Amino acid sequence: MGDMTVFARNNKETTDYTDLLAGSVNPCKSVSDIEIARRAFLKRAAAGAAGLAGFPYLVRSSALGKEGSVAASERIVMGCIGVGGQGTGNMRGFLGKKQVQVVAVCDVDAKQRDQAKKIVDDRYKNGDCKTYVDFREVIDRKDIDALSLAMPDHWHSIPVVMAARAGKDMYGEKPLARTIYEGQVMRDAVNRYGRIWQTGSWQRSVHDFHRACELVRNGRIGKVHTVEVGLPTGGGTGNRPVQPVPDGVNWDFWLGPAPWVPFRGVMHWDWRWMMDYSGGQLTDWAGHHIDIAHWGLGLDLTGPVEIEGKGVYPKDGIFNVPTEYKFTCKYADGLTMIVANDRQQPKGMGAVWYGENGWIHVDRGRFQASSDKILQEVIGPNEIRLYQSNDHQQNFVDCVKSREKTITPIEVAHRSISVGLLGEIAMLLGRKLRWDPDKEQFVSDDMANRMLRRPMRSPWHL
Amino acid sequence: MNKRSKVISAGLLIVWCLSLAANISCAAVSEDEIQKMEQAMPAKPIRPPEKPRKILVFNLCNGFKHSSIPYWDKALETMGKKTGAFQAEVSNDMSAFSAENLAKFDAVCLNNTTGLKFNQSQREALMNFIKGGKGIIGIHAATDNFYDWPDAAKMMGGQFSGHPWGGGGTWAIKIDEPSHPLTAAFKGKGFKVKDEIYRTAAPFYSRAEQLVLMSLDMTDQATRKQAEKDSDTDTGITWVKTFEKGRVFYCSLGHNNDLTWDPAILQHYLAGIQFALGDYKVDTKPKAPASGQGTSTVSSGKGSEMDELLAKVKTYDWGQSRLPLTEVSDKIREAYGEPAKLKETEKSLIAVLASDATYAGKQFVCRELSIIGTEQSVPALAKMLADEKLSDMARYALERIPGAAVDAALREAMAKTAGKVKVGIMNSLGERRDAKAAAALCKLIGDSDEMVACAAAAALGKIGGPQATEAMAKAKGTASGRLQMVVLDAYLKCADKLAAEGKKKEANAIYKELYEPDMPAVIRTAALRGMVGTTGGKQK
Repeated sequence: MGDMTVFARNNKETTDYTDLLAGSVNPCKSVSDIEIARRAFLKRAAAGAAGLAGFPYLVRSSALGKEGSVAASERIVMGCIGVGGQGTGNMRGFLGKKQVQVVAVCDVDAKQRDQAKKIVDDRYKNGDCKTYVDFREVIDRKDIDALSLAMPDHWHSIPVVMAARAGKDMYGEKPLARTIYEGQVMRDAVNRYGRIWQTGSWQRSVHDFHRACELVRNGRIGKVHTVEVGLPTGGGTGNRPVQPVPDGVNWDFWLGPAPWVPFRGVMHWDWRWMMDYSGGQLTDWAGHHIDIAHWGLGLDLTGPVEIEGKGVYPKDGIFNVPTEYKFTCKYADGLTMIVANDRQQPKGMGAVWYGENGWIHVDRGRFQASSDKILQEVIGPNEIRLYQSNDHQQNFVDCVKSREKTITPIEVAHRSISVGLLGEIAMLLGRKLRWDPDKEQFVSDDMANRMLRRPMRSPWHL
Repeated sequence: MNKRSKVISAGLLIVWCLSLAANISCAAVSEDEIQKMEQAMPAKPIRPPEKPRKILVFNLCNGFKHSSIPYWDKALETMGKKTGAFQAEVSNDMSAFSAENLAKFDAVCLNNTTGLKFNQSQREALMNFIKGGKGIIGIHAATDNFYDWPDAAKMMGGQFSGHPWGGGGTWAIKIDEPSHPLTAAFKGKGFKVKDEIYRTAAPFYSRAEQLVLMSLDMTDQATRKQAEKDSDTDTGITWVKTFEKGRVFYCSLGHNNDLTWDPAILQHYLAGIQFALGDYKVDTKPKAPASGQGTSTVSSGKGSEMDELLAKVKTYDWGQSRLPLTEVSDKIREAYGEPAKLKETEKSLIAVLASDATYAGKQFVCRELSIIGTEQSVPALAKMLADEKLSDMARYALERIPGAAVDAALREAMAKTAGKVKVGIMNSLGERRDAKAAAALCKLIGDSDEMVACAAAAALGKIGGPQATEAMAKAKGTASGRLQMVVLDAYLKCADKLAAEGKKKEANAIYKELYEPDMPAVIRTAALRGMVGTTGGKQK
């Protein structure tokens, strides 16, 4: 875990240091100041991982000058990269927040770009919103504090790594990354530079999911032995002919790091049915229900030790992600997680935890348990309280100001999608795989380890 | 599941009494409207019927009752009369589903029926009717039935589970099968329609079970916006299937009355009905095979069969069926765990690279080699590295193949290439953490091309080590623009690497350099974090 990123805010021992960083004292030059901070950090770390969420980043970049951080009284200046369906939806959410000012929209499709600019300009009743094709120009803008990111999965990692080192805070869409390696690099970059990151796994900010996870975490169904995660079933299609690239679309840029292929009509939305860009319904939804399953178990900073499963892949047609899939993950403590498309799960969509004293099932609009008594349970004052947010985007805005961790920080999002990506690899290879969740490597399986990363088309790199 | 039928149930009683009277009659359709229908109706059948055909048009509703029912009753009657393709007989009496009665018909049309309940003998009669070679036609709410009879829901190919796209909106339809005869009415072009669209959820709706001819077009913003679930992205509009010897035709359009005088919609229905009647023979093969289906016709292991398949790969191009590609991949997957067999296959794949195969074919081969390739593949792939078009795919394979031979080939190619090709190779060396490439990469930090300089710094940040560290220390003061942040980032990573190796003192010195006040704030943040981690404690 990125243990260097958290620090006790109200710990007496650190107060001086925090003041120092906050600018009320000259920046530390002597080793002894650092030593104080280090000891305080180690003390906190020794106290255990529970309750780490909510503590601020050790280093508040505001302490180091105005650049790179937003004062509590100021508006967050935001750029939106990727303004298709999801990106525009997220952008509208931010436009509705008084603490945010959207100043730039970026997309490789002129139609989406212009439409997004119009939405922003209509909102602010001016014509100020700038448009970009190249996200690097948005990142270059020093006046921008934060980014809202919603590109296809194969475009998730590169902008995040660049933006992190340019000091931007980010709200980024799930699933975190197309490969496990990209997720690692993103996590390391965001944490190295102390950036605020929120993943679009918004179910964490919805009551039913939060409540279900708190009940499970506090043992209301006893020790959990099995978890079922139900995700949507996919579909295939025909072979599409090569077509002219639509006007206003920069196809080469859309492909970015993915292998070059001609345009065949698959771009917005439908990219998620092609393995170069996505893992299909499985990876699309791993960032939701697997994320919730992990949260309820307190396993969101680790992963399984064994994965085995089977997928059904379209034999023909342009789409090639699995339509049906089912895989089983074993965790170190003996827990079994079964991830499958809804048709192959007894309770369909959602996360179901089975414990020695009952079960709890949560899905969008569904929240049930083996007995009503479980649902009425009260969580006591000394029990585990999970991070609470009732507005996922507001949580990001608040954290940008407070420099505290969001409800879905990057290391957590990385572990959520990792399960989906591990399942994808196990199904593609068709064999049982052993995984070391600490080293994040398969155990003695060269072929599987090759699949942890993908070579990128030039000139793109991490 | 069917929320609407619950909502409606309160008011249903009154409506029901009224509706009973109107159930069969076409009283609701005005003369004017009938005239419009007659005018819009195709003049002749798509195919002349092989013999006189008769359809049982059934319209009973135990749930929601669509106001368009009398319109479709009338439209089908008119269609049959005007084209001569069939004769329609309307009924709402469940006793129509007896073996003797059904024997009079060539197809059953469920005209917006809802919540139909069949007893055992009625079930058998209908199923035997269809399985025995007759047809079933579904209009709009035909999928809002069979909640207690999954076999029938499966036969229909879908079951109502909401309608996020309301009848007041205009939604985009895409033609999934533009060359299929049943979509000829739309001339292969997607269109927009004002109608209510049913979500027909899995498992009954499945592209593996039926041939979907049209579906909602999610590239349309308005249509896309209504989608509530990810599965809504595949919402079928029209589909056909062969069910044992019988034929199924379903079309989701038909909620709003005015579709019954839309010429293209009527033409589409006529074609579908004639298919269901058995007069119009069309392809019904699903595009996505079901599990266990589509097993390879070629058994694994025999070189000649693989070579036959690879001959097809050589001529493969985008847009064509990728079935031969899938068969090759499946064969390779079957051979996982058998190194000798994989080596043989690898040889055959390499031969494709050396041939005049298409770019698409070679790309496919590189994707496979990227997983199963060994040093055996290196010479063939290395030859492609300098080729502007093939270089990226050669790297796609090489970057993931272990072994010093790969590193050597990449280094050699880096020296001989320029621009984007060179940058790609530099990136691969960085990803491979090839320490032997460090010296050459160090020289490239000063390249006048920013793309090359940035790639060099990024690669060195990944490789680390004394040469990289020294180069970053030098470049730190001179780099500007985008290169500056890449260099500082790489320098931080060099320090991180030293710290991880236990060389805390050396690492700490770098962090201190990067914590100087003239450094960008974000770099100072990272440097300070590094200092905290490397101050105090035992030094190695």
